[in-house]
Amino acid sequence: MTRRGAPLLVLLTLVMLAAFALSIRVGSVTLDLRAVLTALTGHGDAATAAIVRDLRLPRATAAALVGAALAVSGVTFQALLRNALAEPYVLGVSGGAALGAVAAIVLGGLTASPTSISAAAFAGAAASIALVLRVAAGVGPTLDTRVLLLAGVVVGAFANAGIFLILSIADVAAFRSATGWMMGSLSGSTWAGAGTLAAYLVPTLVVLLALARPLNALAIGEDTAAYLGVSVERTKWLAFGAASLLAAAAVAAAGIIGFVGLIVPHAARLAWGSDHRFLLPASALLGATFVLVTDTAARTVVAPTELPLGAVTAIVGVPLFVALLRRRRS
Amino acid sequence: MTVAWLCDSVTVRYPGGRAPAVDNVSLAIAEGACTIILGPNGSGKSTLLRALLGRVPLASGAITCLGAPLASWQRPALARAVGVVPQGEHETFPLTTRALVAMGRYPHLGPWRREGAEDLAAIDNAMARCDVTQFAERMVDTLSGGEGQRARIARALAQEPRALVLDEPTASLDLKHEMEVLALLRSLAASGTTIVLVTHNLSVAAQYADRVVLLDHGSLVAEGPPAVVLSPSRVREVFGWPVELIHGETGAPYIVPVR
Repeated sequence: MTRRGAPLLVLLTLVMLAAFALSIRVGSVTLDLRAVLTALTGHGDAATAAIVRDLRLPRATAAALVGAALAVSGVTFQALLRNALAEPYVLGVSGGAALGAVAAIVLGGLTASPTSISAAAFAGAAASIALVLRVAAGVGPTLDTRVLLLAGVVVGAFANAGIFLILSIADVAAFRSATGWMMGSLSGSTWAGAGTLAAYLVPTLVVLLALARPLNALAIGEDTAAYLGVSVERTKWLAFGAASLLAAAAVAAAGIIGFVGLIVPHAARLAWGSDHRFLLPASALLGATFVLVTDTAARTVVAPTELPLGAVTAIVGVPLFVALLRRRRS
Repeated sequence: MTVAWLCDSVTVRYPGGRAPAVDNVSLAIAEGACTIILGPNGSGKSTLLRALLGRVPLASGAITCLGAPLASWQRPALARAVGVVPQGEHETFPLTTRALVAMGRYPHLGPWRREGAEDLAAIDNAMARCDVTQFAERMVDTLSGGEGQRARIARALAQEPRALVLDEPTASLDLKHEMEVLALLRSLAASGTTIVLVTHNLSVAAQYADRVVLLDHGSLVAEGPPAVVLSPSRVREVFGWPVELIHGETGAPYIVPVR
């Protein structure tokens, strides 16, 4: 890490914490920091304590974790696929997860609970990752990233076809619920869900940080990486696995939230260069901040109606992305 | 002579390829010398190079590298002993020259260790040696072809290897840059680094190599000092075009195609 890296990470942590505090304060009832702190320590009135401890805190925690997971996943995919436009859903994770969730909602009917939908989404994501890796690994002796990309596209298309078929037999309520899930939301966040996310994020982040130098080398080329001492195939399998798992965990927790995993890594690379020892933690913090802010906007802008989070991240993300592209050209 | 690489009946086949890419090649590459691998397009030069570096599986035969079977080398240990400048490298994301050269320390650092004084010195030395110190903070993709290639050679030198392997290092360079890169390699060989490189330029091979290896259709045609291997009749036979030798002041021949 560069000498300016550590202070910058501290700064990004502070910004993330500020977004976290904002997200807990703002809502149907706006609280000042003192009220939040009183509620956290268990004092004050019961309603405020319940809002803070059972609703806003788990939701903000989940938002931060989902944002971090998607951003870290995106950074990793970009390095592995040597493509600045790669993102967490590139290997069909979103399609597989959506197929699982939609199947659980429509076919499960009244028995579908948030837990079972989330589990089905995760299973669908895991199945599509396994399928994509299997297809790609079957083509040649080594994992060819171009084949992997194509396999991701076709598995995604296959999952989409499955979603359309299931939706065609859905009743109106299930249809609405299924499309709502696909637009992404953190409204059902629980401590258990946030805990599961953290259990995925922390170890995968450690694994990916250990692979930061190999990822730097792989971003140049697989031959170059090998000649710099990297075990190329092992690194690819580990990093693809870790990044896909993060994407799957994020989708299972909050549905499909686009653009976070594309724009956050992109912005981080443009601002701070290409060293993954810094990019991985920086993207995690920036992604957490981005989702905390957009989720706060999604639930407050036209309150009491909640906007779909996936739409808000895209509405905020697309102009930002275009601005970044224009800046890059000039 | 001490041997850097020893190939014993090495054969490499690519999946679906009719003929082997490298066919039963037995060869010793001397340590501390400059060896240049020559041959027409598709003669197996780059494949032989990849075989020497453990990047293609052998269909049969065995390779010994710096005293140990190639298969027994762990990648990081091999990267500390052998630096490589591959062909057609391209940075996906913007990278400063210094960051590129610093990657040469990866095999010494492992995943977590920070660069120490020793590493910083190796990076600085390699950049000075390749004359890229003034580009340290420039992005690699803004450098000219020759400057970029010197930066990649600096990265390989930062590995502090015993041997340096280069696949057509001067392929896209103009005359001046080509000569600068070759002079650098020559001076490295003079200070004891083993150099192995692939080129298309016969005159370059004749002028700079201690030994040349001539391949055709995957087979070894001849190996030895350039003046012995590169006879006009043999070059004509292998490359399919008549050539003349012109003897310059150094005694080493220039090989010129006849119109």
